[in-house]
Amino acid sequence: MMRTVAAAGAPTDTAPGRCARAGRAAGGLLIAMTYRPGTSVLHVVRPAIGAGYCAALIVLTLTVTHPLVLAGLLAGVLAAGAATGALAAQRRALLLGLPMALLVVLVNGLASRHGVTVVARLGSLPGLGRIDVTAEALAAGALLGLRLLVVVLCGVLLARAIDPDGLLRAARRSWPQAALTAALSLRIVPVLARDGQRMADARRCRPPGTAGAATDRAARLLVLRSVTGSVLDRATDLATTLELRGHRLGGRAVRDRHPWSRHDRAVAAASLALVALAAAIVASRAAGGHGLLTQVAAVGTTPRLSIPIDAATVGLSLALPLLIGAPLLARRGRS
Amino acid sequence: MSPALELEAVSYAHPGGGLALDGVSLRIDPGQLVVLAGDSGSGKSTLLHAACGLAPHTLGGTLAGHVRVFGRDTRREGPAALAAVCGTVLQDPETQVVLNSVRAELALPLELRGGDAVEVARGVEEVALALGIERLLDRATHELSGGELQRVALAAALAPGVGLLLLDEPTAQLDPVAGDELVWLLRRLNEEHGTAVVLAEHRLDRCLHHADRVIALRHGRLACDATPDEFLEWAADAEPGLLPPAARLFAGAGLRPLPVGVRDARRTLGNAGQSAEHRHDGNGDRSATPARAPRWRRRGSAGNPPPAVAVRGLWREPAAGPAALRGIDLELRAGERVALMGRNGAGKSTLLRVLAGLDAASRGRVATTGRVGLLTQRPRDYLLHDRVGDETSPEALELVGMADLADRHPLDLSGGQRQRLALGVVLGGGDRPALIALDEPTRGMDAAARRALLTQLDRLASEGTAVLVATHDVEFAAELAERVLLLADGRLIADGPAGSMLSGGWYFGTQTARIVGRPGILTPEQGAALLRDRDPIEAGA
Repeated sequence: MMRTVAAAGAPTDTAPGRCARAGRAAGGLLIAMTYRPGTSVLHVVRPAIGAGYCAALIVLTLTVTHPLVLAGLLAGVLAAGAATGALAAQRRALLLGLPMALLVVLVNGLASRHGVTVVARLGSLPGLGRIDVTAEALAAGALLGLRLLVVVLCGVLLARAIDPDGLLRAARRSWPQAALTAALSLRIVPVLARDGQRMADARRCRPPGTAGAATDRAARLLVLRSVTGSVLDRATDLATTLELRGHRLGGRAVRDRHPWSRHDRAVAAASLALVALAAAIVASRAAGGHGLLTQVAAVGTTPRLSIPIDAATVGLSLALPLLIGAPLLARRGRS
Repeated sequence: MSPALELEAVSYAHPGGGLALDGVSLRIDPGQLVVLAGDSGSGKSTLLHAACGLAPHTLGGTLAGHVRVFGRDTRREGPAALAAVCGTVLQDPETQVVLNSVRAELALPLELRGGDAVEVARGVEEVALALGIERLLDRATHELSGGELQRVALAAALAPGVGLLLLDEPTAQLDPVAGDELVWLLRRLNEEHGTAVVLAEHRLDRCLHHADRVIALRHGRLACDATPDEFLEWAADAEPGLLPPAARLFAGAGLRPLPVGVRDARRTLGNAGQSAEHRHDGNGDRSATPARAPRWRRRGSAGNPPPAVAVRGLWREPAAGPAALRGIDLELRAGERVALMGRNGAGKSTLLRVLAGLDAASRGRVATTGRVGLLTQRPRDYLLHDRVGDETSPEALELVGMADLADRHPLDLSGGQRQRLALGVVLGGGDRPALIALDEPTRGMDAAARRALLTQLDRLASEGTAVLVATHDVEFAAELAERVLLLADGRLIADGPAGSMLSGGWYFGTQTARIVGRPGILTPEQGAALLRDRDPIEAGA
């Protein structure tokens, strides 16, 4: 009797396929988050400037607390992802980040004792005492989760669009040994991701019902153990190659003496503006809530939730995507 | 002038292990191209490790004697210092590159030697052009195939303009065309720039005719150090497994001298009035009887059995990139032994993955009478447990001849044993697969391991399992297969009996076929039988 294993437009959807998809998703995410050469503005600016831009986005994200402003930042970072071709990788990272953000909300809701608006009384739990979940604690957790998501998306942007070799070359001028160690750390990620994918595939090739087969769910850990167990071997192999290239000869990377392009200048200016904005918010907060950006920093979750919305906050929320996206809007990065 | 490489009574033991090199003394002068021969575990890789300073500086262990590279003693200078004069490319291309982009990879060794911007840029450009990888310069290294990685690693080793190049199985990842190109390239570097090349290879048929010298190792000892001609005479008596097919053909037919390559063999036969052209029967029938009749026919099955695998209009179109498979139509019968050939990137691995259900087809249909077992290129990926006996069933271990190793750790096994175990894992316990597919199974294998694999596959086929092997190894295909499929750009461009498919082409032809020029005569044993049956040939020796 014939068994059809693949038919037109209908990939086989067997249990092994589902198991393997989970394994491949993890490896796939790692590979998706590695650098891909491109022609977008963020790809062609000096790596240090591109990295500075992503770092400025992260700094601002960690500074603001207002959900509207965070939403503006999120929109800006997604726009930057679209402009650099990293949107698909950001979407995959979001799928992984959303459960983490929800976990933050949950943990904060259960652990935080702040707030007066009780939304659920869970009674007393041994060791934890009385558990009252408040709207303020959930809101604070949600803001924390949102910031976490934006930071993750900035990280994806950095990983996908900034040439790590360029960054390492710049770093090698000042910290040659540390930069080469970092190079190893970066290279081992795709190597292990490929190893993991191959092992997951090999596991799918085991006959159903045998030890370690895809139907044996507990055996997923065996793949994980094998991959992590091979880290030392793979790292040693890579270190050996680095040694054979002359790692300890100590030569320093040559300085990039080309003049700054218009894209270098635009992205650097946007980064400075973002950092200045973060500094202004911090200063405003330090000044006790006086100043133009007071409301941006003035989201209150203690004792009662208050999210003031004024013209400055709305204006900033609308301006942020433009500020973030504007330097990346050229159709092609090559000037 | 200092020798490029000099070993003086060198013995080396791995940490906690026995002697991997035992009293080896040799001298390689600048400008020589030397092939290192020997079975797996004979010490070829260890000798290269000692030559580049990895042993003992990085690998540990105990080294006795002296190794000098252009006069620099490896006792005093480690691999980094030796890298100034000696480039090394090891076996696994995946870990032979350390940076993200090809351009940065080639620039790194130049930068580490303190080159300025102009020197680095020029060095990168020149080495990329010399190795034909200029189109790869802006690619990410994690996107490259094994063959491309191998070339990039070679370019990075060469970039600083070294005087000695050490290579461990550099053609293992390459198709016949790319493998031959690489060896030609090494010869060119050797001739035009005087670069000394030491090349450890199992596939002597690819490189022997380019070699100035062959050094054979056995159990860590120097067994032979001679010219290729002298090496062949030595190997015929002492290590027949090392003989390339052309020499095996002559040895089997009792002819002398043993040829180092096809040209030598044809010349010798031509001088004896037995040129390939003369030995054509004149009918020019390329579709003559295959080398071996299909197993199911030999067993005398009545009528045509149903196909074990039937493929109709199979397409694989990834979301990104061109189609990997384009409308494949194919039938494989129970017990049939088929070789799948084609250049790198032709779609061989993809076809096997789709048949095994690892990748989905975008269009078309695959029907099988049972499951498809796939053994991919790295047997190590199949080994997940701490004990051989836990990896698969006792019956499968028995089948692959590893029942006595059930208590060993899988990672303590040799390469050939790991592959047999992986085959046992794929075969599993109860139901035998309808098709067993293997992807490049002979990579890095010595003659003994190849013979063992052939025996295993022959046994499976005789029990009714169809065998499909994707391989670049024409000689292995000739010994295994009764039918050959040729893929190009995802299309099945030829499908025929091995006897005709492997005897008429430029690259997809065995050495024996190119020498005797007779359809259906593929292996040295078949060729030797043919030559013996002819009129007595005037032997050259």
